[in-house]
Amino acid sequence: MIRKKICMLGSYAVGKTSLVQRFVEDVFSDRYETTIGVRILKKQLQVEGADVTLMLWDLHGDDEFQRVRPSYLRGASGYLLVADGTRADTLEKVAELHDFAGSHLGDVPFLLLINKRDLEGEWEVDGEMEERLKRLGWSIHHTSARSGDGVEAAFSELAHRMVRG
Amino acid sequence: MPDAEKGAAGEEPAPDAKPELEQLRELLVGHEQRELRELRERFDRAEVTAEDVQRVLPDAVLLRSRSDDQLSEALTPTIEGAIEGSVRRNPQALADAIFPVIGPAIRKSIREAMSSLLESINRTVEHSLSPTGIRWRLEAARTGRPFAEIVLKHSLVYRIEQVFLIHAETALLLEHVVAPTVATTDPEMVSSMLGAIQDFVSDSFSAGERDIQTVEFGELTLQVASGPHALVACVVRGISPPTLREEMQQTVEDIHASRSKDLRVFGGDVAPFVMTRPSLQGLLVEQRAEKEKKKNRVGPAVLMVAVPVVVLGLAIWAFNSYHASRRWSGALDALLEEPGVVVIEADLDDGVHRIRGLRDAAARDPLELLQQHGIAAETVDARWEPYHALEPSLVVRRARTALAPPDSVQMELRGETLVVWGRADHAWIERAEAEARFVVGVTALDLSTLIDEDAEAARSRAGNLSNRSISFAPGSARLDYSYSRTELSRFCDSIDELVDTALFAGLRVRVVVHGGKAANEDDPRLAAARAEAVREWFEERYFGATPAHDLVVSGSEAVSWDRNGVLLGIELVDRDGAIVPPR
Repeated sequence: MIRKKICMLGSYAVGKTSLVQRFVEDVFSDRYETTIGVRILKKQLQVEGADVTLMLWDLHGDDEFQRVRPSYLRGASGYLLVADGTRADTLEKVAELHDFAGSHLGDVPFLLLINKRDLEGEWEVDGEMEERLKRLGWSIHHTSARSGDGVEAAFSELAHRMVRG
Repeated sequence: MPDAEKGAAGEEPAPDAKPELEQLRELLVGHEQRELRELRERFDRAEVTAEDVQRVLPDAVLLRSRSDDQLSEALTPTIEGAIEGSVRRNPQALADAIFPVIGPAIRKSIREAMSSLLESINRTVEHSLSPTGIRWRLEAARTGRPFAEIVLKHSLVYRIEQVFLIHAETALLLEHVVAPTVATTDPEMVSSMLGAIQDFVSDSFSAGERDIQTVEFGELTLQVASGPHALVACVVRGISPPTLREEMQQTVEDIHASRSKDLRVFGGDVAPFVMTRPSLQGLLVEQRAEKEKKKNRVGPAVLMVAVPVVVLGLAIWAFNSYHASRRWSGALDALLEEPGVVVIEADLDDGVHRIRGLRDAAARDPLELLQQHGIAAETVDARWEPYHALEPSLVVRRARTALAPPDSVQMELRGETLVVWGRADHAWIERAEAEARFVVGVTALDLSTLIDEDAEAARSRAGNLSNRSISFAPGSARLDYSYSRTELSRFCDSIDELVDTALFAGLRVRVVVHGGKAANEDDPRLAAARAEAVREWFEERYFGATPAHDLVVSGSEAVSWDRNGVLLGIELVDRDGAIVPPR
């Protein structure tokens, strides 16, 4: 049995919560997010023959009113950066959060999820931006919390990368 | 020898000098040469001998065990294989070896299982049918909570329901144990949430480290003991025992000691921490209120002895108290009925009989009365104020005390009159008449039926002396007749005795002389003359030495007595002048 801690990072209303709700079966309680700035969820899956339990820390959206608490990142084995494809500024915010997480967690696996794939016609995020990030070694997934597209695959890849170490 | 040295020497040494040099070399460096040869041989020999290893093996094992677990891990397969081989070859050897511990372990396990089962059955029976059980079932129905939870709520002092072993940095659950029948929420979520809360508190209050130690929520308390890499959290229902924190801290330290490497390099694999379950389960303890009560119960044997003794003691005490109370009550009733005693306040306090009241001096001694009713004098604290009672018996008793009558006198109070009868001398009667009015409760004295013994004696003597006659010669009024004088003298002696007697009775004696003449005597003055002659004789003979008031002689009148002489009459006169007739 392997247990891993994952943090979800992203701007306000990029769909972090919707994504994890697509991914997980258990939602501990919605009220904690507004209380202490984090909501914790659990997902069990098989990775390379091993039972893996992911403890997902859905951190409050980082904005001008509330900052991500660095202590919540402590001990995370990986993190998911979430941006809203229809809001280009959320991608810039993701870059800040990546630096922030990297400074506290070091070199741990992470993925960028550009959400709202179902609204792809309205996206502000263009391919050039993605390419630039890919050149930096980022792994990018397009996801739709509404339809569930790409969600399972994204979490699964992160889990595999974490387990491989 | 090198050529340069040879050149320096200049010539070959003489052949006969070689043995001497060898001898000299042997003397100077022979010992060192031998040691060098031994060292060279050891370096030249590649393999290490068993002799070499046995010297260093114990210290090497000790040092390596202290530094890390690699030696244990390396030896584990070998030891396991050796044990398996030993068991396959000869199971008896291992059975013999573990025999001293396996028996007690099995017995202990069975005993604890049976004890747990019996306790469970006892609790079920006690709480199912008893009034308490019914009340708790009603409470469960009213609150919608399980019956078992209600039973626990009322009967538990505390129970540690869950123990979490949590990785400090990641807040991931390493191990979790739970008490039987306890329903749990997802422990992995709880573990992470606890970590989040600790982070939140730490950030919010700049505590610097995760140091939440206690969280209280309703009937539950969460106790946390932290170590560098892991923390132990216990969910306690009820009142946490004071020793719990110390035990938790000891468990944390033990786990850090036994799983130090796993904790240091933790990467998410929780399998090694299964080994910590026994330590964590050791914290799953509970204490029930019923057990406390049972501990305080005394043994049946003690009860069998103590209860009869206590009951007997209580019975004796009750019997004594009842009789003491009855004695006291009876004594008080007697006191209340006793004339001349008025009880104002009475109390029996811790064996002391306290009485306050009034007492007539003529009344009976209350202490004597109390003693007659079984009250010991030393237990009586009495205070009596004097007073005069008006009960007739007390008045009579007071009169008797004051007047001191002779035994022949009887007394009775009729109204406020003291009636006295019987016999008494005249002196006592006079004293009684004088003093009776001073007796409280007596306003009058009735002596009408009391016989004055002195007066009676005087009357009797007077009766004996009355009507004595003195004869005269016919026709003569002269007392020259010797017989007459002798008679008179004898009469006078009797009078003396009468006067003495009458004196005691307060009476005066009066002698009345009646003159007479015979029918054949013609002189009519003869009777008076004869009476006068006797009176004069008395005057001359007798009254000269006797106070006149004690003896009165009257007469000298002629009476119709047809004898030639006089008749002497005796009269007794009291102080009021009234004549007391003689008997």
